[in-house]
Amino acid sequence: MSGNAAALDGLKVVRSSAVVLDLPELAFEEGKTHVLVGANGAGKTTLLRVLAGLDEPTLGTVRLFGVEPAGLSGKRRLDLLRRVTLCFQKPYLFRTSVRRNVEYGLRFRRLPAKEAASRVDAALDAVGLCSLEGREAATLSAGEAQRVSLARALAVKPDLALLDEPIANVDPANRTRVERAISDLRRSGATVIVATHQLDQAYRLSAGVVCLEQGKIAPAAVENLLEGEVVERGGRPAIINVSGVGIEVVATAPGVHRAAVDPAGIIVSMRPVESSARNCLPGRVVALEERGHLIALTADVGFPLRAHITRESFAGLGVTLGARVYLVFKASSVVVF
Amino acid sequence: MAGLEFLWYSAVEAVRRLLTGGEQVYGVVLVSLYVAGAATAICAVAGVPAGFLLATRSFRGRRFTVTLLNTLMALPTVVVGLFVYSFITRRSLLGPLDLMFSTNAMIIGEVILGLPIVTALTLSAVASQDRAVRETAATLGAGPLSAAGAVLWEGRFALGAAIAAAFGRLVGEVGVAMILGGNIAGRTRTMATAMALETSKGDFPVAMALGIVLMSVALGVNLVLRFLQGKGEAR
Repeated sequence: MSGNAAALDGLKVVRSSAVVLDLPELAFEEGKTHVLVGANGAGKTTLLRVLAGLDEPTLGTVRLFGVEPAGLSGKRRLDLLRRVTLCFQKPYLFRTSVRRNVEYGLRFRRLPAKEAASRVDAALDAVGLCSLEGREAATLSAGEAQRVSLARALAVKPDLALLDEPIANVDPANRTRVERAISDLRRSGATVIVATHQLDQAYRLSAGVVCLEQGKIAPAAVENLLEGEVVERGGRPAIINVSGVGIEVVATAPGVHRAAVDPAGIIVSMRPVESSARNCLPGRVVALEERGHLIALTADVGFPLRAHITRESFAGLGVTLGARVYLVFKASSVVVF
Repeated sequence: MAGLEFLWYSAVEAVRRLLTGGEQVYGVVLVSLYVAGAATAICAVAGVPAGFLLATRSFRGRRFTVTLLNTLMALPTVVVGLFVYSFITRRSLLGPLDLMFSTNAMIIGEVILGLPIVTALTLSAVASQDRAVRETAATLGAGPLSAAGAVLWEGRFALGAAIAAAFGRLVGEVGVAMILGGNIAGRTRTMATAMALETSKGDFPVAMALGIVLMSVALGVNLVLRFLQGKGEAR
């Protein structure tokens, strides 16, 4: 089992007597992509800055690869922090060419010229900036600047990459390329933590989404998160294969997708239902949980799927653990990321 | 008409004196450039690190120091001349060093004039971008020294402009050169003091010739300044 690239314990960050981050426990497993989702001011950037060693927490500990940077000094601290890089939402580009900007981190590491050159070429290629390598960085647009910043991070081959809204200003034509570069970074063995305020982007990048709200961890933004591959696309709709079960969704691009079904939009029935809803999945009830006025019913339909029903419906149906039920929902109520 | 003729004659004569050169013109130009150049070099060596530290360190009395620095930028040259004079005159503390009426005394005075300029302009250049550059460098693996180097390198055009501004002020000043140098021909006479003397003597063409050189130097410094500021703002 792999360890954690970063782990926080009892972390509190207080600024001008306001608590901006309060995370009792949070860990980011090594080799995975994690996404921090939250509105502006939720604490995403502060968390990334603390992880990058730019800000000190008011209370609590931060561990990077099992080691506390706060307990280190001099070269040992620098060596640990060199395994981490952070791309700012509004990056600062050095007053030189695009290529020299991408080289910057490699110069601090005194890499041989040949290796540095090949790393820079690869990084520029990954973000589609080869044609602009000779341009003065000051003349770039905000989106191009963000791509340079990402290339700079790719070139140093970090073990932990912290990316703050990496696609915020990138034009639609290059978004897929940037997302692919982020995926490639993870595939090369790095741990990636992305902060974004866009939920769809978060789930496109990873299933490991941490929701932040006013500096605290909030409940997951979506329930019934599914992952599967589009297996059939005969016009509209498409079918996504989730653990061997076909789910009909509104037409989408081929490939592996994450999708979510709102538990409130699922009808629970004791027998098959003939209706306009395109999905009617048989399964057995595996969990029942009270949630205020609602009952959260989880059925195993090949994978666990949760539905929210009122207490009255629950009593009327007479559902018990292990009972056979049918979960019914429309193709259009499946959100594909 | 007579006035215009006089001006025309003086201008032509000034150009002739410039072309024929001689100690009277080029000697003072060299003294001016040497004194202002040496003083500017010392100001750069001391003022850039001082401005950098003021911009990046917080300490008690920092705000007062910055206010004092800004006040010192507008220091009258004769006041500095008088101040240094009181220390180096033969009966004073540094009298035995025999600095009076020497280029070294002028350099000391001009360092006092130029240092606040270089320090204050370095401070504002570094403060305006310190955090962004330092943090970006840190996220790319720079240690504290490399990050400080990155900050100075990023501010290189603004620092160059600060040094050029100090040189511009020093090369044409009169107060320090007159009081501490004594306007001794061939030794401590600068363009500015020579102009004052020649004008009072009535040798207007020489004063004008020196004025042309001084204006050319000022123009050159301004061109350098504009180039550096343009580079610095080009982002």
